[in-house]
Amino acid sequence: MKPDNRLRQSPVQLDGRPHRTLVRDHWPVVCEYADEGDGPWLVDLSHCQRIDIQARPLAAMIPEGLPEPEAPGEVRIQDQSLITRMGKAQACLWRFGQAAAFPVGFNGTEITEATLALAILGRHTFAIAEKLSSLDLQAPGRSLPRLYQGPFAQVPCQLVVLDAAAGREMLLLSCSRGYGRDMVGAITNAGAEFNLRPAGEDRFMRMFENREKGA
Amino acid sequence: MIRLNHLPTLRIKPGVPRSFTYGRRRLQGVEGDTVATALFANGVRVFGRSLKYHRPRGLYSLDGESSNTLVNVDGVPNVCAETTLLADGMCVASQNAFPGPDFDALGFMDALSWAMPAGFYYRMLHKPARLWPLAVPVIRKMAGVGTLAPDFQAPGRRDEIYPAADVCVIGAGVAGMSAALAAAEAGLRVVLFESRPWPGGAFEYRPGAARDGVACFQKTAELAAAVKASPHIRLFLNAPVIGVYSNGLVTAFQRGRSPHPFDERYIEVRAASVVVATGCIERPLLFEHNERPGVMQAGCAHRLARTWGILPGRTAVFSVGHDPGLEAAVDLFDLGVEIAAVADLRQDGLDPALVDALSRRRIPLLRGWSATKAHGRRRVAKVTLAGANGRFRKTLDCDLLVASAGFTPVTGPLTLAGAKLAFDERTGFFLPTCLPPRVHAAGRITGRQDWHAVAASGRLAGLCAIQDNGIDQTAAIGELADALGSLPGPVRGAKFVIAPDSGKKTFICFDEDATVKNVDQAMAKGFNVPELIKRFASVGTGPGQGGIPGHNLPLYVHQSGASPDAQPRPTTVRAPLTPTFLATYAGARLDMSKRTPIHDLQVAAGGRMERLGVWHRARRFSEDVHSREEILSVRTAVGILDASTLGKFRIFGPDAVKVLDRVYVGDMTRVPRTRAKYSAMCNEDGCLIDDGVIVRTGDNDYYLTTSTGRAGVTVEWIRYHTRFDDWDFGIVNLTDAYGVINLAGPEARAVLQRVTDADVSNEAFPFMGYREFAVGEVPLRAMRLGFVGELSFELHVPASWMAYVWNLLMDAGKDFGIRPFGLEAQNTLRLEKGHVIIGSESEQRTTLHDVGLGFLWHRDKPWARTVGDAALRQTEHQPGRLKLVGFRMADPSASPPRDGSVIVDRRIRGYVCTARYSVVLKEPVGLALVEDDSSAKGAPLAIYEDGCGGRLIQAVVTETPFYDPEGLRLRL
Repeated sequence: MKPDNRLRQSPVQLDGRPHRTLVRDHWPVVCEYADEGDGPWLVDLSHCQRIDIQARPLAAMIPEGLPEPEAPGEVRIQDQSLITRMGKAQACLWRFGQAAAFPVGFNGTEITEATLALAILGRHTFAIAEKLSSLDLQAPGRSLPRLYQGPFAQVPCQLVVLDAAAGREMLLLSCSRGYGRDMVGAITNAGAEFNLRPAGEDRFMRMFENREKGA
Repeated sequence: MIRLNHLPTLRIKPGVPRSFTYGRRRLQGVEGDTVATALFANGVRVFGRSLKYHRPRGLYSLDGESSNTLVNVDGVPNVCAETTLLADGMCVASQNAFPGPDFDALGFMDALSWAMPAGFYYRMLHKPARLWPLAVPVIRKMAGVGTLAPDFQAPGRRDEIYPAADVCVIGAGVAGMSAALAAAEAGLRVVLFESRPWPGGAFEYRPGAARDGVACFQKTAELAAAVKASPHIRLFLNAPVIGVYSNGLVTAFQRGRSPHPFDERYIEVRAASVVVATGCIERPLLFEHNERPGVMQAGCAHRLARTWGILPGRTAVFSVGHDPGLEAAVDLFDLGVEIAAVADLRQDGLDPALVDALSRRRIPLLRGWSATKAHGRRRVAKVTLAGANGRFRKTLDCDLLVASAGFTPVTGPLTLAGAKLAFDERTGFFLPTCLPPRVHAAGRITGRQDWHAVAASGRLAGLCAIQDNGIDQTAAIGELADALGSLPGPVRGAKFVIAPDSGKKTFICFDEDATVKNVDQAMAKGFNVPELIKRFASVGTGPGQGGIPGHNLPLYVHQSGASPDAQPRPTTVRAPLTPTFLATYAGARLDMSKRTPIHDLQVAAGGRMERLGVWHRARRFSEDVHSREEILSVRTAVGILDASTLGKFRIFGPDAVKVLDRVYVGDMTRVPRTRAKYSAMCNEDGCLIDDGVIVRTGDNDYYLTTSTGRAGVTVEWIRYHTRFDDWDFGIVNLTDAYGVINLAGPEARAVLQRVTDADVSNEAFPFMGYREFAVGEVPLRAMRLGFVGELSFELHVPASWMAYVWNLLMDAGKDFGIRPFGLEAQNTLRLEKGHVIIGSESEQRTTLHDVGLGFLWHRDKPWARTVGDAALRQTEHQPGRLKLVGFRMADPSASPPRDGSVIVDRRIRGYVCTARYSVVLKEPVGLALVEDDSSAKGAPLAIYEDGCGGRLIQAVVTETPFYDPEGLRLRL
């Protein structure tokens, strides 16, 4: 048995030519695609760690140091972690970059394997989204980032609007892993008129970090 | 035809030609033309033939209000030429006419109209019934409006879009644009729908001056520019609204083509407020041959000239009932049309300025007169006009008869939104008596015709829409309402007039060839309200969606005195308000399905994939529909199945066991750490809905599986049945988190042992055991189960590792002849073992006891009552229930009956659930649900199979399982 040769499989393969890749925790990760263009972009983040947290009170189960979103729909970000509150007693933790170990006694459920995770970035992100969902992702008066739960391409999804500023649009999407191929197909078709292209994880991380810096 | 190229209102680009074919002719239009205007510009006057009588039909309106101009475009029948923009290379053909619309071989049908009275279908062919099947194909062939093959796929690109909006405005005329601008100024997001390819509505082409002296078209253009410049308004042009529903839901579709990336797209908007500013259409004038080519509405004639630069005729007679009709006569005269006379239904109330303008041009004006008959065979050659009492008549030569009885408001969206309409004596309109909450009407639909009044009413509706969005506008609304009061109010409409000679060929509905005489016939049969007459005489049931007859039918019925109603009552309007392709409703045709983590590996291995529910699954791996080799592989060596679609859940927390006790029939307090417990779920009626295994993975921590079909609803099921208990537990759907590999067969252990360091011997890992170990260093969950009746390991593998582990096992199993098996093999294998599949061996009425799983039921739960417990107690010994039994064929060489075949004696006694030929047992076996008095061992079963020709198949009830009744092979 040669552990180094063992590779996990993402639920989706984006139709692009990887320019730079790495292997992280046995996941092959595309850092950058050749000819990513000017946006909009589609990024596969299925390798990023996601944890479902259910507890009453919820705060009791959120790992120390992470902020607690107070009401359903709220999202908190700290460093490379993002935590969304789905309901009274349920939240979801996303970790970008390297997965982390959790403290003893933590009773969250790892759902990285259960779900597909994608990001749609850049201009026309919401023009693509409105072709696939009736959710009002740009409802005025709602602070960002914001969690939405509902159908996207007819599939129950969690959607996080990270940024809606022109040119810096960021939309995270998560749904059941099995829908991966059809979901990417639906987004790709919807984005074709806007020249949607696949992009690597670096693109997402740059925009995510810039957003945090307020750049 | 030479176009009028100098007009500022033109919407065409005369210098940009567009070539198309019409039949065998190669014609040319220009950019901006519709198919209808391009054909008209090329001299086409007869566009098609009518439904029943094959009468010639021509251009009447320009907004698709009737089926007159339905044509075949690029192979697609029933395309409305009036609303379809011309594109280069289009192939246009007439329909329902042979050899062509100018001469139609079935034109003689017009002379046989006497044989087709109202209710013809019901009355003439009702008896004898045997005539109907013979008549239908003939009628359809003669009366068809295009033909479609059953497998026809609509060409073109379809799409869908769900724009977010605070306010939705229907109609981008002056009122609609004013409403949109008002709402946008408050920062609200506005979606504005316009069915035409440009905004402006009724004022967009009219040169007449508004009250401030500026031409209507100029003022309207300024408004349109402001709309286009507003960042808060999304204007959807060429986008007719289909439906309006409660809570601000509005549906529409948009016609595209280049440069849009779609041909048509479906649009759905949910807004906090809806403004309906759909304006008016013209009410058809009723007289003999009122649909003859050359007869057209005033707006149609006027727009042909002003928008497309086409003179509608050389010599015209006008018979109208509104001021815009007079305005059209004046303007068309100035543009070069000879006007022989203008007849106006009204005796008074005419705009003096327009009367003066007619006088200055020496155009005769006949007050209180109207057209009574159009003459000419294929197109108008002359027209007879008559005074109100019919005593005085004139017949004038012309090639154009502009006919309009006045306006009728487009209230369809209001009606769909829930507004109730009542007849208004002043305007002659059906107007809403009260509007639903957050729905507003504005503009000409309210009877106002003055530009400024229309704009003000639109702005007022916009302010109301702002108020609906929670921004106080009370003061502004009050001020504007006062200002609107000082502007001209609703205009008095022309009275309903029908020419004295009308009847036999006075068409009230063009689409269905329904005449005034047909309406009379319906009333003579006792149908006295428009809703009934509409159905009996097919009035308003064609593609025009009631546009042409929608107003005249109730007015005519009321005037006849037959109606019991004190006031005219409109017929019901239903969606779609504008017809479009079913393909457009399908939008992007998203067909979202799920694939297991090793979908591609199965396809590569020859898997015949089938769609089962949301999943793609392998039915078999060879051409053999019985999967014999796959079955034998499992029975004699080792097979491998992808069972990833099973539902998988984690349930945890202090009250988790109570939850399990609530939904499972078994006692969940006794689930040991190292064993899997098989149990089932019932609904409140005690009927079986699911089964699966539960394992305890930690303190108050469980992992459970469900059937594939129930995976999507299990969380809701559990939450629902614990909603009042305030129990502390969490539940996570892990269905997609784990792939499942079923390694089954006498050699399964040997294969598994090759890839793991864990001890998987029978002693260390017995039947129904649960273990967690690694395969190829991938941690997984393993259970010893036996659904297919052999030594089996069910491996739950993290989804991202599935392909890796599957390949490891396939490599390890090569020496043992491992091969994948699919659902067909699994079905036969479990049938031989007598294991049930819920849904195959159960139906809505089947209880736990009926399928022999009563032993799973634990009656005395310490925590809470099980869902279905009371019903299980009642039905446990209830006589007359269908019981699940096994059966063999009386003749073992017979073929197995098809699934679903009924079991009969003198009545139906049950049905076959599943029956297959068993390769191992070398005979067919099956499971059936039969009445309990036929369920005893040895009872004969007579099976009726579709196509058996009356020869019943004989079978005998037998014990199950058929294979390995002692269960020894599970415990190897």
